[in-house]
Amino acid sequence: MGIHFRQVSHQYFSQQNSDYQAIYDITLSIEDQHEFICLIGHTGSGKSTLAQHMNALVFPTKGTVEIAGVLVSQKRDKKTDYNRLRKHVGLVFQFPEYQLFEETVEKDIMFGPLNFKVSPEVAKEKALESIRLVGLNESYLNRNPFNLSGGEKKRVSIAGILAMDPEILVLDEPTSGLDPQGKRQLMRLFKDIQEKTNKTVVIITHDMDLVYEYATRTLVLSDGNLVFDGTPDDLFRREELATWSLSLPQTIRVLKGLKEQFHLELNPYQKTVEEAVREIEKVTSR
Amino acid sequence: MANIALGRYVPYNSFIHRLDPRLKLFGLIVLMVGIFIKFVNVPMNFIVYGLIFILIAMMMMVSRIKFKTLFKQLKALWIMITFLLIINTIVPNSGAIAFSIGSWNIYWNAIFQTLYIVIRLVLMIALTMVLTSTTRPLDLTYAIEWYLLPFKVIRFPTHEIAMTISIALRFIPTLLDETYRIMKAQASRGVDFVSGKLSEKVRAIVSLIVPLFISAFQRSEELANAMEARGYNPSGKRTRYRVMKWRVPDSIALIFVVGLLSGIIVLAALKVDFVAIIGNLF
Ligand SMILES: Nc1ncnc2c1ncn2[C@@H]1O[C@H](COP(=O)(O)OP(=O)(O)O)[C@@H](O)[C@H]1O
Ligand SMILES: [Mg+2]
Repeated sequence: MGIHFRQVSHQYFSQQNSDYQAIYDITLSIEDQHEFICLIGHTGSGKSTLAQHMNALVFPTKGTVEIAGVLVSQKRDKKTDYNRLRKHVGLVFQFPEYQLFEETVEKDIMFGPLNFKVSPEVAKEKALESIRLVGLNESYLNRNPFNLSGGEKKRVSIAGILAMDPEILVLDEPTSGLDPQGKRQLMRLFKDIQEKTNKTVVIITHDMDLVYEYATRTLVLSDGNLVFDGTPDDLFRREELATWSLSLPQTIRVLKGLKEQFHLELNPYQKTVEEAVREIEKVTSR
Repeated sequence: MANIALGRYVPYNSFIHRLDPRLKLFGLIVLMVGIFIKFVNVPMNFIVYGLIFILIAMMMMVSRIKFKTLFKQLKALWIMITFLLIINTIVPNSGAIAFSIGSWNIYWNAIFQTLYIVIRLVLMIALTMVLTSTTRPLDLTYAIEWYLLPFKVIRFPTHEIAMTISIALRFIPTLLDETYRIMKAQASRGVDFVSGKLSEKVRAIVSLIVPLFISAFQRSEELANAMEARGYNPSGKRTRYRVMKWRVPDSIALIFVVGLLSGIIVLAALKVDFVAIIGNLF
């Protein structure tokens, strides 16, 4: 099971501009469990396009994607139930708050499960379960989704996908537009969800600090090519970071700076600020 | 999905692209009038339609519009054709009977009437497509504004109307992209836009329309604020980034379309019949 890309390319056809190839020849596998993957790359590198292949919202123009044992190729196949794939892989769009439409939060969260023919009682339970999972209390269920703050709307729309109980959760830039604290909270939340449910989580993000701290695996896209697939520890030791338009996490940058400036014997590869502080104290107390 | 966007402006630099938008708008209206003129008999009608079609096809080639896009747009016409045919056969008719289904007579008249309407529609769509894909929406509104100028005397809000139209036009592609995006987001939540029962379809549409309206209202509010923040004043005098200039080719094209319409009117008024003329020659 899981998702398997085999030499997938995607080209957008456009009437005004010339056709545009968004991703090239991508081969990769994502398992159903235990992975916390960060998908990174500069704007326009094809991250969203790649993510939308993961639940058959777009079809590859070359190659195949296998999702939960179902082969998706160039043409929409009348016999395939694509909805089943969307239940298997839950995709949260960038700015998911634009998908809210019901008059209460509860109804909106129940919308997904009901579409997958879950009974209303079970859907209600799922709504309660997932609103708690995203860190809001149940009083939110009766509120109007349009009166919530931006961050709350985001959480509600994420709960709407979680309630569908997907095996793999894909989130397209879920932290964009949030303040640093909100970002960290949300990231922490995804990590919690992943640890509690053992689902695989794929997150598109530009925040290298969060990538370094949370990811177990990173995928790097550059101009539509998959140029790196490995752990963040390996990634941030790579020379090519700048050519992929990526920057280093703050901790590494600061520690590297200190190391060079003061010729300290420290290891700059520390994931969190606390670890970085400890490393500095260790060296300076000597 | 993306092909809802038919007739969007395509930035080439053809002869037709370079023509003055005022001329193009005028030409569109003139040729449309031409399309609606009736001639002395059936073959004559078809001959003139054929000639007009050849002319439009040439314009499409010059402005590099793919015929494929026209055909795509015509697909939806099938329903209309069937509908028209049914209406035309139900309406009492006279003349020669083409064929009968049981006791139901279908008259040649009905078929021709339907064909005329369909051909006119196709020609009009093709013409409009030539206009919209060779003219920037903004230029088009400038042209409309220019034609409305005389009404300014009676305090008609020409500029405001032109601005409203141009903003509306500007946001069509944006809203289409937005529609596409929301459809994908809802498809992710298990909405099936392709198949399903009627009640499911209705729900699918609601899940699309509500977010679309909300984001459209949000956008318009933001735009209004942004315009005000930059000191926009509808009654203020302003200059333009792109100034419309009338050139020699525009005059030539003007003479051509006016000549063409006059020709068509003369043919119709004098009841000229090519078939008869050619028949007389031999
Ligand atoms: N619907 C579309 N039609 C045409 N081009 C598109 C469409 N969606 C994305 N693109 C183009 O494909 C490229 C990759 O887009 P995307 O996958 O959204 O990148 P990212 O999410 O990494 O910013 C961009 O250059 C974008 O302009
Ligand atoms: Mg994106």
